Amino acid sequence: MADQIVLDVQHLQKKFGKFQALKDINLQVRQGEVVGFIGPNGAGKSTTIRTILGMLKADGGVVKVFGEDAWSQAVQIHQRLAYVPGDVYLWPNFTGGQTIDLLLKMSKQQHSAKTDELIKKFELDPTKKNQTYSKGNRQKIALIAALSCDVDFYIFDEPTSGLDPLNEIIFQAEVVRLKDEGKAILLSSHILSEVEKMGDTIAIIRQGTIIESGSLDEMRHLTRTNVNVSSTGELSTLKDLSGVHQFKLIDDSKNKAEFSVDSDALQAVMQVLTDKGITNIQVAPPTLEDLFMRYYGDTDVEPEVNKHVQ
Amino acid sequence: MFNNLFAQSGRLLRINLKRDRFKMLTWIVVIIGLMIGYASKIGVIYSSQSSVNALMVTLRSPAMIAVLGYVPANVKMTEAILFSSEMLVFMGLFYALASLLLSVNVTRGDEEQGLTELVQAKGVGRQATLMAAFLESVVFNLVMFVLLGVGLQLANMTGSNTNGNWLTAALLSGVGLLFGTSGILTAQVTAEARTASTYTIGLLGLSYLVRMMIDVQNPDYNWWSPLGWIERGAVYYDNNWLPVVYIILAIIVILGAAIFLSARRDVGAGLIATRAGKATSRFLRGPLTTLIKVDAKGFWSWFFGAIIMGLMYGSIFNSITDVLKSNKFMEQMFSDAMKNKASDALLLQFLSTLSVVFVLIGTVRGIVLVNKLDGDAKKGYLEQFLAKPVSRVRIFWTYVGYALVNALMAFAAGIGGLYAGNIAVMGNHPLALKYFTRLFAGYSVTIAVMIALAAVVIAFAPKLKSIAMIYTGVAFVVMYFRSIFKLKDWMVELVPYGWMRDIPVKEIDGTVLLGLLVVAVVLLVVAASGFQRRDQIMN
Repeated sequence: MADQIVLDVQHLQKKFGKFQALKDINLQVRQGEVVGFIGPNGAGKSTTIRTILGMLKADGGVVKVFGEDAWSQAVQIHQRLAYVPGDVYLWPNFTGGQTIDLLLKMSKQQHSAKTDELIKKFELDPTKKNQTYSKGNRQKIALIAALSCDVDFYIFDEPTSGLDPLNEIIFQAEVVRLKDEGKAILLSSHILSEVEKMGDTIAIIRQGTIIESGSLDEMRHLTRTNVNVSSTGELSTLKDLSGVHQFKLIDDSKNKAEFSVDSDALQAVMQVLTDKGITNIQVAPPTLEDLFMRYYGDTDVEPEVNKHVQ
Repeated sequence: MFNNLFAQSGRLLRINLKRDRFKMLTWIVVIIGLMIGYASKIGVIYSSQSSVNALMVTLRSPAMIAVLGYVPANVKMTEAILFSSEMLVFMGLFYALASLLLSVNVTRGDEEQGLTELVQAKGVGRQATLMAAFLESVVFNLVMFVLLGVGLQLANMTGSNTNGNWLTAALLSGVGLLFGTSGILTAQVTAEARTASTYTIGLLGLSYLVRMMIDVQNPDYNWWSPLGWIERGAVYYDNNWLPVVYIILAIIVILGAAIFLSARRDVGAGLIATRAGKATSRFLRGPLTTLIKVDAKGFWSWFFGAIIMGLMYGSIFNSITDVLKSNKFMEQMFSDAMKNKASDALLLQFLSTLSVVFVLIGTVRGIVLVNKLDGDAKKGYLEQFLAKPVSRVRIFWTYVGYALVNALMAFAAGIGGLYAGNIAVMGNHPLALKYFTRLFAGYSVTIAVMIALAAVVIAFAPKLKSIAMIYTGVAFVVMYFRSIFKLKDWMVELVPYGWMRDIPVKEIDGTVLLGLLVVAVVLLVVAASGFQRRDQIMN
């Protein structure tokens, strides 16, 4: 049961008029798994999620949730699913508490002790009117309603973009709890460190295509390791070794350097280093930031797409 | 200080003008086109003295005076005076509506979307957005002033004169700017664009109703309504410019008040603060209850608005039949039964013309609610429903069903008000209830057809959603002016209302009723299946 597939997206395509928003999306989420869905603004994260939620109709490919078609079986699927949109807009003149209850009722869920606990944890005042809440507080309302649902699949679209660091930690702890309970979670973000803290698996989307996906370990395998080293011998010759990148001498000294190494060249580089007489070495696995930079950094940086500019 | 407050108003104005240019152009083309088109054709439509005389009888009937304003007595009727009596008050309504919708959108609408916050952070004066909105209204009305003035000069109606042509243009643009400025003022007081436009439209409606009551009973008092000022201009016979001075003074006062209030409030907030509420609600449980709660204010405003309007129209019923009492011959020679019959005939004629106003109210109420389906999708509210185990079809029927029920309720409230007014003033011989129920039954299905049409547009091409409203406007003009414009039957039947044009004088034709009902149901089913199949969030 533990590896049962909850979400299965195969070769999803979506067009808006002439604009091909999604070209080829392949994405799986299993029980007990947090999948980080990463990409820059405008890459197609929200479009993918809305297709999964049956709000948009796929032009090609297959989108199945709990083994059922996301478009035609939306009602059945949504009984077992909770969602927090990227931009949370709430009905004016309702209070936060009323909104949470309404969202729960529509999901056929109860306002539980868990709900009260979350309201307390996130320090939300549920008596204020929706239009007076800030972006972060609106996000909290949607998060509280979603997190206190007892369902099998949770979708969060850039859930912490308006939260302060303390609330972000609370959210992350909640996601880890859900994961431990065997729930499936899809978490979209352009904040990489966030996904890194919770995710087992990531899928990277760019211009409507999933360009890379796999477990975090697998992905690291494909990437460079960061090395910070001090030695007795001169280090400048390392610069010309194959597989060494971004080589930099520190403090103009010949014995201190910083560089990254392709994983498959690590063995060779370490052998050269040992001969130099290492006095101090720090080796760090790549952050998702590095991973991300490798795909987006050198080549064209995509412009920020603001959804609200008409 | 001054610099600081109004800095960069000019630049904002340019940006706003660029953004609103199509909206403004549409209004200008429709309003000016209608007026100049009619002015240049009026001599052709009413070529003989006998047709002019026939028209004067129509225009002097209470129903026409109620809507179009009074016709001067003791003045030689010329094309120009005919034109001004028919068009000015009604066009003033359009000028005012166009200006206030534009200015509310520029001030409150922008503020709601957070644009004002963005703009004010950029070295723009605190009052610059307000000033830019006012200047935009000035530019808009100035363009209309010049176009209408020149157009009337070129149309060269008999009996027209240069002084009168430009006075007409000045009065209308003045009233436009007056309500545009009022829109800016109410935008400072309320916290939402919709409330602001509702209040200002309410104000406009009130001015219109006050003018109507005065015109039907005693036109000498129409200084009391800004729309009455247009009539006070006595265009083409007295050419009185004093009302223009009044309008300008009123604009200055209102603008001053708006600036004063705006200086006293925060961006994003109204003067009326939002209070905290209860953390729970027993009522809220799904899309329908959400819609009802969100729309509560709108519901009561439309409901009471329609009742009040009905009462006001109903309360002039006795003025309409006064003509019978003033006729000595009739008073002496006619039996009571005959007098009652004559009274009924007069009232029925009035009712059959006027009922279109209430049909319009019901239809507009319904279409606004149907269009909410698209508006709420854009605002992100619909996304919250759609992520829940709530089917697309259920959302569609919730919105459309709510629209249908509310449209009929607003229509019924208007007709009910009319009936109540009739009972109150007509003493021992009020018009019978059956005429009112017939009116309701007959036009209800036409309202349903219009709402179904709006639903089809929303389901298949939400970008074109203004079509339904434009069609409604056309339908209203067709119905109200079909006798003046001498429209053929087939033209009148191009709009759903046209099929019911003979009620309440005649009985409802059952076949027509059934036919319209079938059309409405078919359109709704088509719309539902279209909505079911399309993307729910359209970019």
